[in-house]
Amino acid sequence: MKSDRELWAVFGLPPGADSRDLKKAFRQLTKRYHPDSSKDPATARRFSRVVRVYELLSRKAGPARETPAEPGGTDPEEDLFALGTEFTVSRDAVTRLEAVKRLGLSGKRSAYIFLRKALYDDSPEVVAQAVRSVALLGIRQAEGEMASLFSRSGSALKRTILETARGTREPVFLSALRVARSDPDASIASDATEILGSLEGC
Amino acid sequence: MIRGILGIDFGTTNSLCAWIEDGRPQIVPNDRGSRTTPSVVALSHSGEILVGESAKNQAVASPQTTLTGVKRRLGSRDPVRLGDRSFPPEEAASWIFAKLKRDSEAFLGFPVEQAVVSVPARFGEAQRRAVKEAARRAGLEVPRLVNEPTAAAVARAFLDPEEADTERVVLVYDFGGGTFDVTVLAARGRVCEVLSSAGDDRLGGMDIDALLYREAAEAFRRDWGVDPDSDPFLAQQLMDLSERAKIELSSRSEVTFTIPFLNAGRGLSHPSFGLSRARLEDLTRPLAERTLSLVRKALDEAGKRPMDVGALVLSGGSSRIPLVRRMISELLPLEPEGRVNPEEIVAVGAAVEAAILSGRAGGFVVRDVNSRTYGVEIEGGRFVELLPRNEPLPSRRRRVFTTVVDGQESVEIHILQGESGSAAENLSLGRFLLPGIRKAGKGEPKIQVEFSIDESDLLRVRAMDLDTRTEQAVVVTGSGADGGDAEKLARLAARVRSLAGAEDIDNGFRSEIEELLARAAWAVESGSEEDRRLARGSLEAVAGELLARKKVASP
Repeated sequence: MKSDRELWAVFGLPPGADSRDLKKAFRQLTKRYHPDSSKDPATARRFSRVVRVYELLSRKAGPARETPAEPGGTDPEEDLFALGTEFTVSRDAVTRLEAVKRLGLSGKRSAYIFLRKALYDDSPEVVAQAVRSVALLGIRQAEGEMASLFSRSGSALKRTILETARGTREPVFLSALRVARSDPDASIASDATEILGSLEGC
Repeated sequence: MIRGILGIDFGTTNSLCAWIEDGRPQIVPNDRGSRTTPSVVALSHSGEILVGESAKNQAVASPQTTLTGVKRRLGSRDPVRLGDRSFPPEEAASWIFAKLKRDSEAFLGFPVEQAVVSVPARFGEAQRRAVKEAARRAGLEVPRLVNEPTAAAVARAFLDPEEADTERVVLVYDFGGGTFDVTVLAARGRVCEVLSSAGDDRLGGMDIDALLYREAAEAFRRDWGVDPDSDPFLAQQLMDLSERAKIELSSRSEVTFTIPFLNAGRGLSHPSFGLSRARLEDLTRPLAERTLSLVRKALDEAGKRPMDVGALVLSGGSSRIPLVRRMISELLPLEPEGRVNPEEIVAVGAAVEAAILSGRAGGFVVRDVNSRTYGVEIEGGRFVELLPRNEPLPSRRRRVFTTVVDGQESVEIHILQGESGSAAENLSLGRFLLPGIRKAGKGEPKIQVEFSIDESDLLRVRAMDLDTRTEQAVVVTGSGADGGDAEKLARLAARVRSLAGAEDIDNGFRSEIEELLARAAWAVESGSEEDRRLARGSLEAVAGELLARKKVASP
């Protein structure tokens, strides 16, 4: 039984994202987990799950953002440094959140130079999106920092970390889940134990 | 067409250019044939920009439209004032660079588009950036900044090929117009390794001039009833005389300041004031003692005693002062080496670095050092240093910590950069958690924290529970002191390439890495410093990711 939030978490997106972002995240994940690119059975399982959840969500996804047509109709590659600068200099949490989301959708692992900073952002919403973007990109080097983030977070952010871990099953959450197992909040602790079991089972 | 890279000693009071021709250093004279160009800029009555001697000459007539010591203003946002106009400090400094470039081109006979510029070792990032910006505005790209004391040691080593196989501890005592720096190096032939450095960027010959000025101004007020402080014209004349008196007193025992035909309201007078070397030494002694305490600090940091020093290199005009020479020679005890003029040695070192960069210096090598201190926060908000600055690269330091609470299952490693004993005063670089610690009483678990930094300045921090062997690591991105360094970027690219070869990585990541390596290669070859900095940031993130995957792959 999955909540809506957890379905969106599979794609590293906040609930109710628009269809354009969903499609972008879907493309990124299917490219990475396509059975042609790996013989690992876990990859194949992951791929079919991504496809299944995409079909479910694409029926629910909001309309695509109104964006002016690009000349020639091409979708230009996101400029990481432009996004990173936007994230770094903006005082507006909504702008930072959008930049952090797009860093995740860029498909570039090197976006972590900015996403790492976002894990320390003042706004919990921006931090939550940084967690999702790290997971969408499949960044592994953030494991220790993710655990540290979990231990200093309030329960809303802790739940975001757990639901993103459940949705994406990324190894980046392993240490955070191990810490979460002994969380004073019993429901967080039991969720963590369950997610950890399914992750380690893979 | 770039014919070569010039070496520039951009000083607080004077600047010099040097060039290596057939293995020999050569000081490049300015358009008046002088080996030094005063670092002075001025606006003439007609609004023309004057630089060097002509600006210095105008200082006497019109101090309000003359600017000295612009180097000390670099890195600040406050504009400098010249008459009724104001300029960013790097704009004013760029006029000096423009003159040095013009004069050097005229002397050398080919265009000069790049220069290695020396800076005080204690200059921070903002000041270094301002120096490069000033040079850039003058049409000079700066592929490398070199610390002044390192330049002096490099020059000494370059000029002394006979010592090819002897290893020595070299102490560079650099007392210039505006700054003091001391550096302890281990030199073996032409290979120099910085062991430690200390300094004060607000201590120099100008401070001695100011003390002499105070002394003279006081005498003028007392004996002649004229107040130089309320007369900019007289103040500038007296300031000039103070500097000349200081220099003269290096070779004479007494000098007299005279300002003839002074009209100070009560008719003409010819005020004068006599100063002895003994008095100058009384005034200078506290400053000299301050330099000696910094020398002791640097020796301590290097783990050396005064008698371990095998060579003393003096640099900077203020090191010519007899009292200063006497005091440093007594401390070590050692006579200074006299092969190079102390005022020219830094420029020669910058030229040697320039020759190394353009591949014209044979097998001459200088080892890089880590220029920042890194450590972790421990109980009570204290900071423990793990990787001190001035460590030769590559370097690795480990230390074992423990838990503070019974049954503690995880520890947080808070990585900081800085030298204060209080963690809050240092720069936070990140936090990570190591879970899975063996359950035990407080103080029992053994957590090993390791800081390692490679030749490319890539800093990695690892924590491991020595009982359970659980470990966690991070690569610290954006921590390097000189993110725009081309050589270090090239080394980082090589490291990423070898890491990427060994790992099982998906196609998307593979093509991202290839693209970033191509961009880094371009940045090394022909990009700007900013391009290299950006390329470096991305490659650090990639290196961190590849190292993390390596850890997962190998059980």
